[in-house]
Amino acid sequence: MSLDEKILAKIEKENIWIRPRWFFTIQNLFFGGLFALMLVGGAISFGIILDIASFENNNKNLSSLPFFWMVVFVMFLLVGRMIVNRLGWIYKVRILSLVVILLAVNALFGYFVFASGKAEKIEQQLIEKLPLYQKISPISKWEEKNETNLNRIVEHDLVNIENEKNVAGEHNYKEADESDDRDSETHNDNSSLGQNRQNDTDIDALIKKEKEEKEEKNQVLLVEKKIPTVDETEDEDVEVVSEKKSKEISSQENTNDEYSDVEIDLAEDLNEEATGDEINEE
Amino acid sequence: MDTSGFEQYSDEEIAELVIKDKAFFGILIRRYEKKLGGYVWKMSGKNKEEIDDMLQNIFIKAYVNINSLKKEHKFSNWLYGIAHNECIDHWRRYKKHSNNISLEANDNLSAVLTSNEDLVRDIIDRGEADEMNMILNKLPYKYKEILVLKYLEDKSYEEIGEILKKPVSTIGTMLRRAKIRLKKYLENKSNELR
Repeated sequence: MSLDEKILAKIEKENIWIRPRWFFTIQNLFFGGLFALMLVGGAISFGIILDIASFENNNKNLSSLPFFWMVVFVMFLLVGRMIVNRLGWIYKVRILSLVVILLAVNALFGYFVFASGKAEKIEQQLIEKLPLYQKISPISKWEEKNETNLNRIVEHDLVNIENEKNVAGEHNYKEADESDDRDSETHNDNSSLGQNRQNDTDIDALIKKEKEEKEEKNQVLLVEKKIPTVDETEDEDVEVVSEKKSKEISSQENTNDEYSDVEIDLAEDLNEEATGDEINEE
Repeated sequence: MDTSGFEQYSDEEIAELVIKDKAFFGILIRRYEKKLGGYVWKMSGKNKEEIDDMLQNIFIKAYVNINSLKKEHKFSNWLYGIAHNECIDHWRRYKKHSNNISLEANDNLSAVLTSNEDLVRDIIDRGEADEMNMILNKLPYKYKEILVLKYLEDKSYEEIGEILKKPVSTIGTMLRRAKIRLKKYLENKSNELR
């Protein structure tokens, strides 16, 4: 039995059939689609590489390189290269030329993906939805590091505020506390160092303003006490006046505890002054 | 069906007829049986029974996929491509049990080495194809394959490119490297034997 007879008998016996043309059409479409998918994948990964590179523009070091996406990009490129060989005449193109063409196409589409902002969105989606990716994403790492630094700054600022509050006294404490709360909210909302610093300045200004007001009040009080004392000493008996003023001061003492020490000092001064005048007259 | 009147038809025309009637496939088998048998033997170095089995697989694969043959393709190259894949599969399966063919001291080969403008062609012209085949088995498969197609099957660069699915420039490079490897191997062997 010759070989052709053997083979034809086998075809007949095992009912081997010729694959229809549409089978090969679908196969070509499948590989074409897969190749397009590799191009899209390569473009997205290239776009994300650009996105990460531009994000860390001010903080360039080796660890911040998007290695994961570089590997993904190379994988898309290689698989694309393997698939493309199944697409008709492509095998006639040299491997190096083919890789360069694929690289250029991926880079071009990748740039569009990056420029349109899609790369950033995809990166954010991956960070939010894939906890595993969160661990390897340079952006995620950078944000985590940044958050830690901000927390340190906030803690440091809080200690400063506490110290200032102690200096400012009880009255300022509440206000400073409120500002502190506002401060924390601001940190939680936008984690902005600049705004934190701004709030600190506000607190300083507030404390300063409070001090100034207090000093002003004290001065006014002193002026109010001193002027009538000087005028009345000319007409009235110093002792009587001093007693009167002492009474006035003591009456104010009940109404305004805050300035009691100052008034007592003032009364004592006046008494001393009056005694001095008496000695001089004598 | 009697297919005797179709012998003068081209391979591609017969392939078209096979889709309508499988009896026409017999013509193609008869045309390529010996050629492919020789190629498979050179690539695998197996005995007649095993080569027959491999040939059966090659022709059945060709029959099943005959619709994938495009008009711009040459049937013989397309068939050699299938045979090439079958040989690679076979080589991968049995490479661990490859034959250890020893190279005998040969004055003729040594003489050829001294004037090697086209080393392989010289060896074949001197009627040493069998010996050449033994030497080829010592080379890496990719070099052996390209040398067989070029010098034993008399294929052009374009045809080899179509069979191996590689660009013509790559075929040229591979062929040059294959010849360098072959020359080196023969020189080493010749020095050892002296």
